[in-house]
Amino acid sequence: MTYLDLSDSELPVIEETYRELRLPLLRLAFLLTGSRETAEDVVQTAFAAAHPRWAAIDDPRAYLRRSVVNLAKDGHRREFRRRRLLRPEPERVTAVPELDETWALVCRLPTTQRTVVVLHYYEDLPLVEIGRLVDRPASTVRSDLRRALARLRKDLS
Amino acid sequence: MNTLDHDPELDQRLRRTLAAVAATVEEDASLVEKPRRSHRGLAIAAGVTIAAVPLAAGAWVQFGPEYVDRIPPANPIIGGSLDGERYWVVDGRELPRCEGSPSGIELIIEENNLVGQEWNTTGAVFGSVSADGCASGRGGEPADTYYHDGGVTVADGMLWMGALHRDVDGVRVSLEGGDPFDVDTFEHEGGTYYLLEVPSSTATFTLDYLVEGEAVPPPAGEAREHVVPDE
Repeated sequence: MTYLDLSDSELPVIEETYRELRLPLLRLAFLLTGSRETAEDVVQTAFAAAHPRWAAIDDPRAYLRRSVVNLAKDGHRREFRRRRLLRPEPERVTAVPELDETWALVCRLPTTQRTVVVLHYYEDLPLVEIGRLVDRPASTVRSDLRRALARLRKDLS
Repeated sequence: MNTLDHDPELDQRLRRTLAAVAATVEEDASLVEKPRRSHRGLAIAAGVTIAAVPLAAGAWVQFGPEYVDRIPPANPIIGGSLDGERYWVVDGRELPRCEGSPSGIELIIEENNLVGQEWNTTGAVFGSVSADGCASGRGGEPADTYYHDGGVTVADGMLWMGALHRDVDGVRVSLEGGDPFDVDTFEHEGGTYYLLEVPSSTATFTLDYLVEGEAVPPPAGEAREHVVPDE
């Protein structure tokens, strides 16, 4: 583990933001990565990376959400970049079979499609804003979402 | 932008599912207490700045400190696209130039390497890498080639690449039990490599390394058949 030094003047603000946003960011990171451990790492790293430029950040919520999305993508790649890849058993998380089945299918979407689905249906973001977040044209995001929904519809039928 | 043909039932199911799954992540009181006013507040997990994480004797993953400055990269050895995502193989930039040793290759996938973000690539070279970063490129047995391959998912497909033992003269693949075919290999600075595009909708594939036309049995713990993960 690495520890950061925080100045006295910045700390109260960061603490407050941390308390307010940690849980929602953790939930978003979990939906994006499917791993509680990776989600913890992603959120901690997002806060740590934001610290040196804290004074210049106008909208911490938007900034941190963007960081979490990008870091989750990296974490996701790390999870999958293994030499021998096996199909993991989907984790039973909600104890509601229908929801667990849907969650398992969301987890099987390609990373980009999953990110778009989570940001659209969990964060309620419009496609244009998702495009800004993931650095993809809105038309491409729309295509990602269309493909994801088609795949989910097929898998659920 | 055109509107999507939304399916209200699926929309609702997705919203309910994601909200329910997210709600299973609960606050840990001990973590809420951080950061403390001790000037050592935020605990972050090391990992983002790891320069090279060995995957196997001759494969590595890097999350280096340098940022992507240009895409496509300069001087690619080969390039292509899979399922609409572009990729390139370039010289193994992270290995030092060691006289008599291959420099290895590095796979850059566009969707993983946006300009301004950190490089996120996968490399391959045959032979163990010494503490000073030089790859032997030699030694071992032909069957050791099975230790020097690996795959990366790309959209709905997969790119599988490897570095060959010097006696291996062919790579034969069968997708989902279909007719086998030979994969093109290429030379780069004293090493021989291959890159296989595994198309989307492929669930499994079988890969043989050949010496004088005969398949080399994989060593213990390795297998000819590979499963393409559902991301």
